[in-house]
Amino acid sequence: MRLLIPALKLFIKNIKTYILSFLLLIACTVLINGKLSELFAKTRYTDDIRHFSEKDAYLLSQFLSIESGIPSLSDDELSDIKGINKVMSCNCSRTTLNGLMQMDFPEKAKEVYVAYTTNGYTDEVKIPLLIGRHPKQRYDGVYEILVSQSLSKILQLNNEYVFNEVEGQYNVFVVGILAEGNVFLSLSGSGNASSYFKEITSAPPWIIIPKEHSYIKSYIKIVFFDESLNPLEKDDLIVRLNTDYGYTYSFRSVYSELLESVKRDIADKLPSCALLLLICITCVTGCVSLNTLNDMKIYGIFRLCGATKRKCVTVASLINLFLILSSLLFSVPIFNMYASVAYRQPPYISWRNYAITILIYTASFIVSAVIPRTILNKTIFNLYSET
Amino acid sequence: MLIEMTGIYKTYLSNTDNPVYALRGIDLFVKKGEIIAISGKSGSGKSTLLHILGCLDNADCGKYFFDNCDINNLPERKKANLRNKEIGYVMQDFALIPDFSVMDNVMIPSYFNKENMKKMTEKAERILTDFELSGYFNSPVNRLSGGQKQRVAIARALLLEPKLLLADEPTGALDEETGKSIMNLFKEINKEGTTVIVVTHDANVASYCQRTIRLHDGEIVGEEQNQ
Ligand SMILES: Nc1ncnc2c1ncn2[C@@H]1O[C@H](COP(=O)(O)OP(=O)(O)O)[C@@H](O)[C@H]1O
Ligand SMILES: [Mg+2]
Repeated sequence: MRLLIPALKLFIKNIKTYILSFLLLIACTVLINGKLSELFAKTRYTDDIRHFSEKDAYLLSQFLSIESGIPSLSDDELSDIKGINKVMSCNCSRTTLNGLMQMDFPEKAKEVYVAYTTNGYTDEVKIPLLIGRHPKQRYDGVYEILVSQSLSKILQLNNEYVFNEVEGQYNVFVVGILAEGNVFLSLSGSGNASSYFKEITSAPPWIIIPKEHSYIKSYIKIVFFDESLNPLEKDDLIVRLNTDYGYTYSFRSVYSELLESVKRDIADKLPSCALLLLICITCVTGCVSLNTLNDMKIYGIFRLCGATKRKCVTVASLINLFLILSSLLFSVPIFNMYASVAYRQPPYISWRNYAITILIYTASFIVSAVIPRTILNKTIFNLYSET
Repeated sequence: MLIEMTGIYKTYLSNTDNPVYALRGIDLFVKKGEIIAISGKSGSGKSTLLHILGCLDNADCGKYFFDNCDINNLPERKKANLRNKEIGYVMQDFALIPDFSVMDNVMIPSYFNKENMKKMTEKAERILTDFELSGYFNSPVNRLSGGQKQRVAIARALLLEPKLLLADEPTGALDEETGKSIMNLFKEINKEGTTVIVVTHDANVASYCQRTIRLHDGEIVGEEQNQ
């Protein structure tokens, strides 16, 4: 413990010479994390979809096929549902979609996601999208949902596609979480699909997914939200979800497409990241070694004053640790700052970013500790035995 | 007896083709409370002997007992402990860390043991005050004069009240006047009970000690009592 004192003092004494390593470490962390961030965002989807087993897919398709019926519900939950029997009475015309939507929701709904398609039951199903979340209650049981920014962007992008081909025919999916944690999924709207559902079944146009399976909600979200998906496959996916039993193929194809692009990304980014890391570690190691060599006399004095070789090595390692920790301390906020400037939307920083940061620092620490350790172990014995 | 050394040999094999026989059968006995000088020409093996005495280096063969403790069979950790608590060093080049303050330099031994930090700090302050360095606790060592530096080095050597004080050419880098005052300081320290061994090639310096041991080519060639 006491060795911290000389280590800290030596670190402060040499702080100027560490600035280069310090900056390098931070730059390396920010650059590598920046490069990998998009990749991580993508891999998150891949991971989620990979974990979506065939059983889950089957389950989901069961929920989505109205014929399979509604899971049994408690009285409480049934009263929740009463509020949503008019779920999609919204006016989804081309003008209002870009603006405000007004619809009835169960009062206890905590989070609501809305996605819509056009002509849900035909091949012409179009891009499903998130419209909003956290509805604001306007008056009893009526909520407003603001169209999200990303939606308006995509709406513009796909303007022609969506609006010119099939006018005014929309299906709207509402995915929400009820107070008890159950998930409800509505399949209705002003489009043909809802009337189709109404015609062929006596079931109401929504589905309650029990709490135990509420994780399914996140898959629905993923499918709906992932803008990196090939639009064709998005269609495919929604078609499959709307009809019966095509699910496995759809999820698989989305997954393999994503996986391919992740692999391509890795192949693209890994060499430059590795090179960066190598340069950084080399410089840090060089700097730390030079400093140790410079301070050999001091370690000799420590030995004179009763330090064992091991204690000298510990002091050197602690100095190294200070360098690493202090740059780590700075690099995380700097990366966060960089990310929020570099990406327009709030940065997606996953645990993988932190993992890679820790990895960079651990690697730098271990590698840069080796040479000083060797120097100390080899030479310190003779330090004060020379004339 | 504080030091009992018999048949100490040390040979350096490094660098050159022909080995350097730095010490060739040294027998040395030093009683507690003595102050002795080891003199000899440059290269006669004085420093080598001092390093072995101070557990900084190992002899190739021979026996060395420090305060009845067999140094040859002592693990490095125990030797470090001896260097920390029982043996104080004063070097020709002062062996101080230039960028550290006077206080930090004196406190270096405290980092390598588990003694009470506060007591050690108080001790350091006391010694420095005794050595007329009370105004310099926080000044960097490289601002001090040679004599002041050597006094800082001696203060550090005395911090943990060692039984033995080793000095390798302590006056070598100082002018004559300062050298004298440093030697007087050693005499005072010796009067308080610390055994002192001073290595020097200067007969004047040696005259401050009770006896002088003369070294030549790694062998003891004579011993004189001083008055
Ligand atoms: N680490 C070492 N490696 C090789 N030779 C050494 C080493 N230290 C001392 N010597 C040699 O041993 C001899 C005695 O050196 P030293 O004890 O330093 O003499 P002194 O202190 O009396 O001048 C010298 O010839 C010196 O060159
Ligand atoms: Mg010498």
